Amino acid sequence: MIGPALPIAAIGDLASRRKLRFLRSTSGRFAVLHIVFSLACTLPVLLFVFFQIDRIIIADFTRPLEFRQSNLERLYAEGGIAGLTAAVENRARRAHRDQTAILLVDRQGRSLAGNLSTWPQDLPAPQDWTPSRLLRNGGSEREEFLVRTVRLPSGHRLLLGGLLDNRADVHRAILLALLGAFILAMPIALLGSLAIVREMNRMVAAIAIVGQHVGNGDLSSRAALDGSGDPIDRLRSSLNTLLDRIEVLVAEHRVLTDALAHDLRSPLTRVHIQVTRAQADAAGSDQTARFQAIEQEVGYVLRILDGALEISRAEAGIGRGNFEQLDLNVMLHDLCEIYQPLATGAGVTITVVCPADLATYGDRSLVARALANLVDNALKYGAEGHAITLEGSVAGDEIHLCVSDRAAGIPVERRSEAIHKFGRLDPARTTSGSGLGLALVKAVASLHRGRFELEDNSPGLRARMILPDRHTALSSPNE
Amino acid sequence: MTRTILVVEDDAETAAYLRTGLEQGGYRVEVASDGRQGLDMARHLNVDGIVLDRMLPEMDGLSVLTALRQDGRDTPVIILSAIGSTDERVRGLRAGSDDYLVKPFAMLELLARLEVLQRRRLAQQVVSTQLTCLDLTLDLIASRAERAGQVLQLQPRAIQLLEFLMRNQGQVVTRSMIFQKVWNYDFDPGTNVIDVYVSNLRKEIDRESLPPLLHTIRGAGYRLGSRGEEDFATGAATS
Repeated sequence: MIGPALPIAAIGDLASRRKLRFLRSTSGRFAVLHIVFSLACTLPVLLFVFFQIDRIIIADFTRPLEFRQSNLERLYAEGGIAGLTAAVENRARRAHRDQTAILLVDRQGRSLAGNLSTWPQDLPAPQDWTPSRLLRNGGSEREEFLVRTVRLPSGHRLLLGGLLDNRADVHRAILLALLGAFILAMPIALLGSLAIVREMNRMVAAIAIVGQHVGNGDLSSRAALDGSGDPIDRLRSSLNTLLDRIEVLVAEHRVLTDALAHDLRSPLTRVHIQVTRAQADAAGSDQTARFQAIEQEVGYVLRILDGALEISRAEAGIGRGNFEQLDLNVMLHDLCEIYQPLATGAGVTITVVCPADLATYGDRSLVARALANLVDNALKYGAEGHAITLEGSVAGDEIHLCVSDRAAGIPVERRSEAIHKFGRLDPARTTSGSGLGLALVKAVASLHRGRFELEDNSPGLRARMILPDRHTALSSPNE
Repeated sequence: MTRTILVVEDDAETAAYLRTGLEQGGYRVEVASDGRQGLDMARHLNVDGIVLDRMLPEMDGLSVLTALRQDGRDTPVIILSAIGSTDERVRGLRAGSDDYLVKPFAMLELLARLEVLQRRRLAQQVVSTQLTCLDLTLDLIASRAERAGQVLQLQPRAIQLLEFLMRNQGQVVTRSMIFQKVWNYDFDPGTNVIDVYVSNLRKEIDRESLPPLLHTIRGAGYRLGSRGEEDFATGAATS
């Protein structure tokens, strides 16, 4: 023997447990359910066929007997009871050839003619075609006849029956055929359920494989849709939506951590240098300038961190619970007012163009901050155009908020770069600002299920933040 | 009468910094180092204000705040937290805090905000529409400001700014407080904006030959009132 043998009982136990596990599994239950259903459908059909065939046989059988009986009745009408008796007698003599049972009895039940010794006890007259077991004269055992009885006006009773020998044969044949059909249905049902389970497992496995790929780090893996819109397809589609979201968040996370690490390193290094120098300086010397430099750097670090976190949360869709009704006309005028002093100082005029009732739902603080970033940007990079326009308008079910300047603008090929986090069109990063301004605007737009675009204002730059109007904003799914 | 502030803060360093700063600002200070203890002390000590961290052991700050408000206590609470995103600040204010300050913070900012809350608590019942600060008067119903009998030419926003300064006269108000209360936004617009508005207001209020009322407090903000009151000269220390 190879290895320790399992006791027989344990093997049986294992087998039954395996069977149980199969029945508990979705595939197992599916297979069993399918078999039961298909057999449950086959059985009534087979039974119907059986009874239908039986009915046809009997109908077929009664036709010659009825003809014979009508002959006898005719003879009775012509020759009275004597004629009938003679006819019955005659018939009974030939009865062995066509397997007929025939009997004529008088009012007292005494046999007048026929091939049965007595009137069967439980047989009333008249009675329409009924199967009945009768013993013929000279016969060894009772046989099944299809019998009809009539009571004549004279009180005599006549019995006529045909032997149902082929009915039993046909029954047997049909039953065999039906059994055969049933036995054939079993494997077909089994095959069907196996096919269904296989197909189901294949579909689920395709989805599971996507999950596995994603789990293994291939975030771009998606379930293929067949476009049918059935529940499985919808499952695939919602899985894909889920994965899209995860991919965005992970990419977001990666960019954020990379960029943060990169952008925080330089100010922190400068802080480190200042502290090191302060320690190296002679005791008692005035360190105020160093401390001020350090404070400035720390403030810069904090602003980057703050902006990055805010963007990351907005892009992840956190904060939709804070949405409230926003009067955008008031907001644009507020921003104009807030930046007016700075603009005046820079020789720029700010103009607001906006319908009075421009409103939507959103995060007041974030939308204001995004617009403020745009105005700030326009003042920083577009001041030589001497004019900034804040424009609010309605386009279909969208609201467009534009901040435009009349300066040099940004060339088409560099616009997407400008929107990217930490993407500044200033490689040396000498200008103040963390490079998060436009990325925040984009994140705020996407938090509101809107868009952010940079356009040519010929000349100058037009930054367009597009938000859904209040109806669309309310009807869009909220988490 | 010395007012008592309860500081609920689990970081020992920050708690000590808060204690020193608040004591220098003239408060008595009690410190709780976790949320449960903080809630206990807030219930049993009669404190005039609470400085509450959010991420605390035992019980988080928002739960402490919610429990206090459910008790029916209206003790002024300032949340002081490293959790600073817009939506989280809204959550804090909705949970019942009176103000929300993000770490790291300037001690002067905290003191100024605490003072405003204290004052608001005392003056809660009085809704005055006539404000006075020495020879400066503001009639809110008529939107009319006068200094030494002369009418001042002020835009609506300048009147709102003046109202805020007059309601907190003698107190230092910071730029971010002004921006939050007068403009009702909470992003950082760059300090220049407030400075420009304040200096325009100053031009109207402190005309030549009049003693100045609107003072700039270096490293902190502004104060409306006569010169010579206690000055915040501690500088803008941060934690």
